[in-house]
Amino acid sequence: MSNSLAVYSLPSVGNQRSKNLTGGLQWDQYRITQQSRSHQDIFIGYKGYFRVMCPHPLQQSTFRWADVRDVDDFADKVKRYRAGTYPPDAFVKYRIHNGGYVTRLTSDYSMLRVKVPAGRISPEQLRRFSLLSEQYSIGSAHITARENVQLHWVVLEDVPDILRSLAEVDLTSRESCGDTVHNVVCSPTAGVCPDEVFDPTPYAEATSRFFLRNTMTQNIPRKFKITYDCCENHGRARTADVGLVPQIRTVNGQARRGFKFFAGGGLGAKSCIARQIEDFTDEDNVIYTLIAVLKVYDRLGDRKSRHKNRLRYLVEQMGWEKFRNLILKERTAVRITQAARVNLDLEDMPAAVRRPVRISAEEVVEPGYSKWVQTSTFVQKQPEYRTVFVTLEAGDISSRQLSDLADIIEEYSGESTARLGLIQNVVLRYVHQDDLVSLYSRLLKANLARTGALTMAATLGCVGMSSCNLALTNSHRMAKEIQRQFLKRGLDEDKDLWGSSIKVSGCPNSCGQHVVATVGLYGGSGRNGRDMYPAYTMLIGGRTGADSTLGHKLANVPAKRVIPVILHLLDIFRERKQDGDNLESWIRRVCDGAEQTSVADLQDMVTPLISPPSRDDDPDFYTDYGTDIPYKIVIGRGCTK
Amino acid sequence: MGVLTNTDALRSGIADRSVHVVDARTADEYRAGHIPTALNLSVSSIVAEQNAGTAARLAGSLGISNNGPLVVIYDGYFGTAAALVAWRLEHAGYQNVSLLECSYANWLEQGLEYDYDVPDIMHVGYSVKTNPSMVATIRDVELANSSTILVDSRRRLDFLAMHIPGAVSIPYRALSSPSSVLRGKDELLHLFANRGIGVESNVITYDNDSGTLSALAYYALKHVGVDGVRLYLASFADWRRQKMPVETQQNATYGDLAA
Repeated sequence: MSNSLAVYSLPSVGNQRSKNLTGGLQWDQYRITQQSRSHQDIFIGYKGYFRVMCPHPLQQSTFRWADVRDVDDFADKVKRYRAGTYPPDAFVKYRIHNGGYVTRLTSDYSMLRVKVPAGRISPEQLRRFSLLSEQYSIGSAHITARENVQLHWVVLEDVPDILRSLAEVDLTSRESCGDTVHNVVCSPTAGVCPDEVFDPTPYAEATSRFFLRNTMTQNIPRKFKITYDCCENHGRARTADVGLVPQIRTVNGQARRGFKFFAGGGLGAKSCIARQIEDFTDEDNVIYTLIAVLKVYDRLGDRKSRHKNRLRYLVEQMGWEKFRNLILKERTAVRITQAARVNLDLEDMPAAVRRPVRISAEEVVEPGYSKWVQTSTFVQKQPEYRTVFVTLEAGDISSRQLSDLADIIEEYSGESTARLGLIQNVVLRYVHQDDLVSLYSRLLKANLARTGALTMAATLGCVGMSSCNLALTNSHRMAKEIQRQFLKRGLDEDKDLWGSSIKVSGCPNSCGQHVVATVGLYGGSGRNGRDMYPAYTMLIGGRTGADSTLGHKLANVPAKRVIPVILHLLDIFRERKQDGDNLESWIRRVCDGAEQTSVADLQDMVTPLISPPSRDDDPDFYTDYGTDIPYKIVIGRGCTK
Repeated sequence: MGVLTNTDALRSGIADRSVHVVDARTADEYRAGHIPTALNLSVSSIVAEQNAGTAARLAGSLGISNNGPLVVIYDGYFGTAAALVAWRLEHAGYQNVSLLECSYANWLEQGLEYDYDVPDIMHVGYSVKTNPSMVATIRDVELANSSTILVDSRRRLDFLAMHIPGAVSIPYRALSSPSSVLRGKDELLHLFANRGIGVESNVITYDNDSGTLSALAYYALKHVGVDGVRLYLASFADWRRQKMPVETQQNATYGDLAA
């Protein structure tokens, strides 16, 4: 294994240099602390060495995500489809592969899912979404839990025009849906997380670049999701098809970067926590291992039954040991047979952190400021800087807010760019602590200063019945209603609830990640005699991170009783908690049988709240949120079959 | 004469006094600064009376006659108010009317001159010679066959909730760019072609009630050469009042996706 290592060091631009921040690794950080009149600069280089294809780490890559040929092709296919000269099934597969997902019960409209690799999004790109959402969509955009931006209820014929406009700011929707490698996700705190051993962002971007338009992954058995975490606490590595968590090992006396490489995880029908394929996957082996997994999956995945065809089904069918051995063997073959050496094209990201100049007028501390700092911001490993989480309502952001946010990022983020987060939020990093008061005021004006971004109040909810063919309930509104109630009741301030989460899906497929939430909900229905009502299966005790666990089923809760049941659970917890408990730890013990109260006890305790009233007594009970029509199940076709 | 007048043409017109500049914003907005020599003919004063002669009477009282120099109209942001004032003037027989290509906000962004002066006004007489070919009645809409395309200019969510059967959705914001009240001709032609509209098409535009949004659509279509365009001035509110049938996108709660 002798990959050519081009050794670069960043130009010496500063008068202070701190080395070896990560225990022996050649990690250089350069700082300029010189005070200029306009700003303070800090340059942070990624590594002391790069295997890069661009000649100099400070040089911009010429790689572009967007390709207008995709746009022309899409326009052509829509025309042929409408003219009846392109088979509808083939067209659906094609449009989905290119991000033009189907919309609930109609072929006139499309949902356009635009991938934001590693979640890095520029102010310019946010402004473009602002414009396009107003021109072609519903006046707002939706930020997903996998770092995509979605435009809903777009006229199918308009999709190519939107794609052309997105290409101008180097955004693509290609391979954001369909049987291929979806957006490569990276923890939004990568690079600023105090617990990480190194920043995985360049690896996430390189992985995304490598697989985009790669012939190997244009028609794999089903979708494939890759996630990079910053550390064991912040991320989703164990619930993806492949998840990677950075680690450093000493190999032959040398500190090596590598990852914990997890495979076979996934949420939905038969949710599964991924397992680690080997003790340490050296960074040089990351791409080979990914290729090996994809090749094995491509060859052996069960293409006949789409519903049982994610990687986790293959793992289950083969057994873990056999699967794991096959991957390792395949990797050896891949390494030998690759025609050219395959390197992850790691791009340098010398984040030039510039604290923007502020004309310090009298700063008024707006009400709610300290609560916001406490519940919506995060202390970075870089001294004096904070990361600010802008929480939305189930990921929805208006055209106006998008352009306001673009301005705010330029004014306040030292890296002049933002990250999309993992719970349908936007994350501003490198905000100087002295700018927080002023930033809060700006966010308030844009109605983007919600508190509780890092608490149980920030409820995640898939789009559900507002756009998706498969939804059984209006999960999107449900999530908004829960969040509003939590904020109204000040529950975001309750420290016992920190570290807990609520996640809602409109069907068992788990786009809302309900299986890994402290309180998870997925849509379904209930029946009282002849009358149907919308309902959610409530799970408790799920979690992500190093000890990722799937939730336990608690009860089938009518939609209009979900909030009372959650509040009741909080009351029970407060009554029975022990010293030092928080909700998460208490529910964990309940689920593990390590508490006097059992899951069955909780079931008994919520039963009185969930028995259905008669339709005459409470007609509202029989309707879902956002509609006054009595509940019935109406669904359409999923993706390609 | 084109639908749009660009800023350079307007500025030289102002310099040699060969244009009437009309500010379609409210009196308060006008007083807070306007394009030099502009007269204030607010869209609200025009829509207050649905009489076809109103626009002409108001214009006459500002010294703008129907056979005088070019009238260039602008508003604050989107061109919708300016479009309705233009449309009402044309409908009353004014032949030399156009929209300023940018909004007042764009004008200021470009650092162009503005002032607070109200020009001296010389009343002129007015005559009204309505142009019925510009208007569609509820009967026209009702009887529209497949060769006439109905364009709904309201926001997409309004359209999904309810629209005139068979209408196509072009939210008025789709007609503008950040720097111009109407996008480039190629882009507009594309937008229209995506809905089956070509230069030969017969089109009726409508919005909710005021006619501002659909007037912008009217001029966008004229701009690219769709001459067979009419405006259903009473619009969707009238359609609803007359208990006419509507179409709805059913079984989806799209409204809950709005931020």
